[in-house]
Amino acid sequence: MEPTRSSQATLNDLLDRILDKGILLNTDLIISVAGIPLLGVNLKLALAGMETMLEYGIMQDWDEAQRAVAMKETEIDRPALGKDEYIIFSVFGTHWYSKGIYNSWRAGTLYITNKRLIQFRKMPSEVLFEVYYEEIKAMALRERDHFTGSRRKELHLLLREDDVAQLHTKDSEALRKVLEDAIKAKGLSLAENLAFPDKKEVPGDFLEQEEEVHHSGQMWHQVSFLADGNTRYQWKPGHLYLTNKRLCWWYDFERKLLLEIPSEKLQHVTVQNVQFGSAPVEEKSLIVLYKEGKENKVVCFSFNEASLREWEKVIGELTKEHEAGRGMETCPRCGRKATRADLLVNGCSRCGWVSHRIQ
Amino acid sequence: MAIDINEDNLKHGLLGLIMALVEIIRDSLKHQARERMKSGILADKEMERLGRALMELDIAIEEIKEEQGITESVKGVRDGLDEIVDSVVDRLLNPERWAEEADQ
Repeated sequence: MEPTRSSQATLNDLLDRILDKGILLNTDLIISVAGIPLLGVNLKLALAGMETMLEYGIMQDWDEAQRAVAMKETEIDRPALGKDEYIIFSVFGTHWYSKGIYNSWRAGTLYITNKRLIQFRKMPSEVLFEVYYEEIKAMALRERDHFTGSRRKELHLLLREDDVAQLHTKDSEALRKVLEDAIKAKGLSLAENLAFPDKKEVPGDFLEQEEEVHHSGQMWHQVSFLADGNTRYQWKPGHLYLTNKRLCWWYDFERKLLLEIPSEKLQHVTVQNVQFGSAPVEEKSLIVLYKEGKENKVVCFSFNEASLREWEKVIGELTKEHEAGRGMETCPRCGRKATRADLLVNGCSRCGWVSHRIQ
Repeated sequence: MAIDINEDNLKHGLLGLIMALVEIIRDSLKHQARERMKSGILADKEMERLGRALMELDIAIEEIKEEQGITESVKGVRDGLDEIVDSVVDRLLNPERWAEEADQ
């Protein structure tokens, strides 16, 4: 058998030749329309294999620095294990991580050892999540909507202090099986059918004892603040809650209550068109009138109209109750006390004052 | 010359094209890796790492090709590209052929 050599040039021959020799491009370019220069391009390009670059003394420092960094990185390809600890099972998976403004599925390799569950990321190496089996109270497979629109099975672990860890892999059932076996092998038992505290979006930890949320929803709130001695307004995103004690608005970004009104102070509610900022567009908004000390104050919320109407109804019922309870008003002319409805419809029986609307 | 992509099976054709490009880039990287190793700047440990990384890449590419059953179409795409390059290079190197072709 004779060795032969094909004289055909291949694409790789061409690329190798180009990279070995190197390309240098130096271009000035002006793009003009109707004779008027509009875009300018000043292009300096050098493309070559690293060896050729170094030959010409380009990027030498960078090359050395980069290699020094790579040498320092000791490759850790699995998490550090304790004494007598060994890995039973490992699979690629994600874990729901939620802290502060960071909410996301973090990807890594899930390791099930004889002692704990670890989620480990190789580069840069970090233990993303770990839990010892003693801390797991119960687990369950739950179907959840994923943001991609599909429904998928997630493995939820109920931990001490009622924290819930959400995990997902391609085959969550298999993960559950292996995890269960590992926990049982350690002589621990899991509670069956334990009610999982369902993680609600917020209500943060602002609720007081014996306080219940009656109505809640996403809501923008027009926040007033002082700037350079002037009152300015700004719309901020958050959630509005009506509890059995108060109406309060939770600011999503700072994660705190910016507004709370005791429900007995609520006076009136209506949905009106309100100008948004400096734009000449008017949008439906929820206007709530309430008393602070002796003053009447107004706050403004906005969201889609359907939810605004719902809020109007809910708060409206509340204010009506208040009116029925203490709907006493004084006649504006003589000061006689009478119920507001009586005054408005029949006028004052002592001095004969009649509301402008009736006149 | 047209690149022959199997029309009945666009997914395979497209995947074949992509894998062919990946292979071409890999071959170029391999060539550059050889050049760097020859230069003697790299430490033994670095060469070891480089070699292993390229080998893992090789294995991964072969696995994908076999899994998707596109070994043949990848080869077809690469041969097609090589032929284009060959004919272009051939013409550039032999300008006298232009005249011949023009005569025809």
